[in-house]
Amino acid sequence: MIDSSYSIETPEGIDLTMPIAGPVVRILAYSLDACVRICIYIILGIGFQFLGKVGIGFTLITFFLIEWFYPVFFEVLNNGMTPGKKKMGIKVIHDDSTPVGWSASIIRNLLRAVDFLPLAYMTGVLSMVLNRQFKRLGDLTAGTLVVYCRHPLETPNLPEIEAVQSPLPLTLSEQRAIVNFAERHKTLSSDRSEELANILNKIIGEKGPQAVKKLYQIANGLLGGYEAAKF
Amino acid sequence: MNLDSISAAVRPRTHWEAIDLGFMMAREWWKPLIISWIAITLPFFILINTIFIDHLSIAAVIMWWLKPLWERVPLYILSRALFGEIPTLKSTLKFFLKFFNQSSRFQTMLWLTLCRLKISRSLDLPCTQLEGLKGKALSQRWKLLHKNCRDAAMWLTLVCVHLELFIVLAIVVFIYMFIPAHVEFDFWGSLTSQKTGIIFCSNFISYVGMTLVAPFYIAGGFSLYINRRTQLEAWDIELEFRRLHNRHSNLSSPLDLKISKNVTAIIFTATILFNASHNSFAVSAKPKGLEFYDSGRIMLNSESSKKAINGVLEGKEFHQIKTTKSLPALDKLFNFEDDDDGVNDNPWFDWDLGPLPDWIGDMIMILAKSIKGIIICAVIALIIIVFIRYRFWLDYFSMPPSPKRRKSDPQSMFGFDVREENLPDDIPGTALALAQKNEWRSALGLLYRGSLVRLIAMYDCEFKDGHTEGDCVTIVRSNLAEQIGKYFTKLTVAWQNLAYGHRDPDYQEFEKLCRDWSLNFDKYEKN
Repeated sequence: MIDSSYSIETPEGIDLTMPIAGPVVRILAYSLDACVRICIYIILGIGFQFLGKVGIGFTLITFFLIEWFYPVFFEVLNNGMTPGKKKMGIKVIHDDSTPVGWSASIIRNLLRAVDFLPLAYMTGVLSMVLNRQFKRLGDLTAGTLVVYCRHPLETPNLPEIEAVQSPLPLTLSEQRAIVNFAERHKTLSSDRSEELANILNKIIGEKGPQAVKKLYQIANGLLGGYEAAKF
Repeated sequence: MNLDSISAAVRPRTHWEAIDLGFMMAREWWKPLIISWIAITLPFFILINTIFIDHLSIAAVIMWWLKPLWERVPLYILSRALFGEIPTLKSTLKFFLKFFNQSSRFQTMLWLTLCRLKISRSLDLPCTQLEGLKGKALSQRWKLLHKNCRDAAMWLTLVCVHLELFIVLAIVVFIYMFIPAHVEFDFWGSLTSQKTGIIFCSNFISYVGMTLVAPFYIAGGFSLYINRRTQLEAWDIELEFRRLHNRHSNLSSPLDLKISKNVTAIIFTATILFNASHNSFAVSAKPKGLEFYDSGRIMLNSESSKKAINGVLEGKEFHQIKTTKSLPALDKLFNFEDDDDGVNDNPWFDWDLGPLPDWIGDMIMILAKSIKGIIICAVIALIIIVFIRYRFWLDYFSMPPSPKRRKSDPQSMFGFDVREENLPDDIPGTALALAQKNEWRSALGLLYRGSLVRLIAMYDCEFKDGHTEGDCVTIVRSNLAEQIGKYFTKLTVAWQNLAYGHRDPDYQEFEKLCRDWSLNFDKYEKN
């Protein structure tokens, strides 16, 4: 099964799954960061120009510092997100899913020099495409991973309908599927909804629009609407 | 299309995640993708370059313009492979050669003319090729698809265009890197010359770039398309409902029930038999189900695993000796005064401030000197601060700590003089004597004052000038032993009754207070 999720088991036996961010979104995030940096360089460059040769010296020093430590600074202090990464909704973490620290961040950003070779980060892109977890060489060395930020869960938007108990015990994934089905009542066409509900014809004992309605009721029941209806 | 045989995890994803999944698919089926691509495009590449041998740039443009045609191939493979059937090279070739058939003539023409520069090509290709849509139906379909993932498709195209460009440049730079420094060869000059061989090479390099990027580009777009359809048609729900349906019909059919009963019986017997063959207690004491489960693989018990662990520990990996040497260059760096050649060749301080106006040079020197002064001051200040902040560490060296009166200890509290010096030596005795003379106020006052002084001196109670009697009780009760707290409360109540309520204490009670005072506060020896 091909899946872009990375899962890690905690000592307590809990599986944490995170979707890994791939080359395209990372390239875009990098480009955004590069734009931010270039803007800073232009402003500083103009400012330092008035100081003549010493100004050039200062410019070079600040360029050096920003070029190497801009990502480190943001990754460590901003929960793994540089401004570009934040905009694209991705962040850097350690392999064990803890927030990235100084040493790992510094290593992965120093290794950008290697990933850059021979031009425009082609080694990095090649490494990302070949690696199962989309890691560039810097990530491999530092033991870091770039994943998507999780969005906070939204309250399910179910059709308002009387809740009913499920006719048979359901596994977790089956419950999820039924709730999902009800949640998407606005995006699914009615024909498709009926088609899907008809698959469960034997279990819920209804067909067509009645089956769809029954499934919505079961979903409401699964989410606790059953209890809520009693009060 | 049989959804059950789909070989990627189906669920609605964000666009970027969908593109990532596409990249994973391209990596998974890398071999068939690249082989059939080369098998189809390489002959054409050679052919077109030989035809236009005098105008090779035209050959490059044609090769580039026909890209949608080539991209039929990876899309065909991906769409089959996703549903569990990887097409052979032969069937791929057969499919490709049908590009100008009755059925696919329209889409070929469409993509090579009107839509050649369409920026969301990777997303839109599947509609024509896999669904075979035309005309109004096609434009409606595209509209539906574009509704929320056109931007992602556009960015995918932009990124892939740049990747292709950079791969080409990177290959050129890579070759350049391998030209030794002492070889005099004008690499960049020869690149820009119009020699046939050079142009052919650059054509070939761009072809390589195209070959490397195309599978990923098409897979990214295809995955976006699949994701959009998953959203619109709820594929994930269909899959799960089918599974639920199957589970349900398995549960309810009596034949299946019988089989599953039999299976249980067989497993049960096997477990017993298996355990019977081991007489040792240690083995049969393990959970039985687990053992049966493991028997299919390797039997695990503590002896064999110990052996295995010892085997690993004796291996080469644990007996390696590594010698590390430091870089002499580093030592040199830090001792640069030693190899002084007489000339000031230290580049760090050799600032040529020549062309600058003098005042800037002066300013910088002043700045440097003042920074130096600031740093020295800062270091001294730091040392002093550390010393003051942690001076109590010094106390650890001068044992035992002398019960010194702290500066912050109050001299007087609610009108009482609480200085040790002004108290008689035998406080309870003096108080009792005063009580016998019926001077209740001074007797109880002395006792109370004495206890305050001792609390400050002996127990380090942090009383302040502004505290009331009640505050003192709270401090004592929360910081000191319960017995002292209780006693002090009793004493305070007695004192308050006398001082503010003008009620004299009972003589018996007062005597008891005096006795207890000695118990609580007399352990302290004056020094």
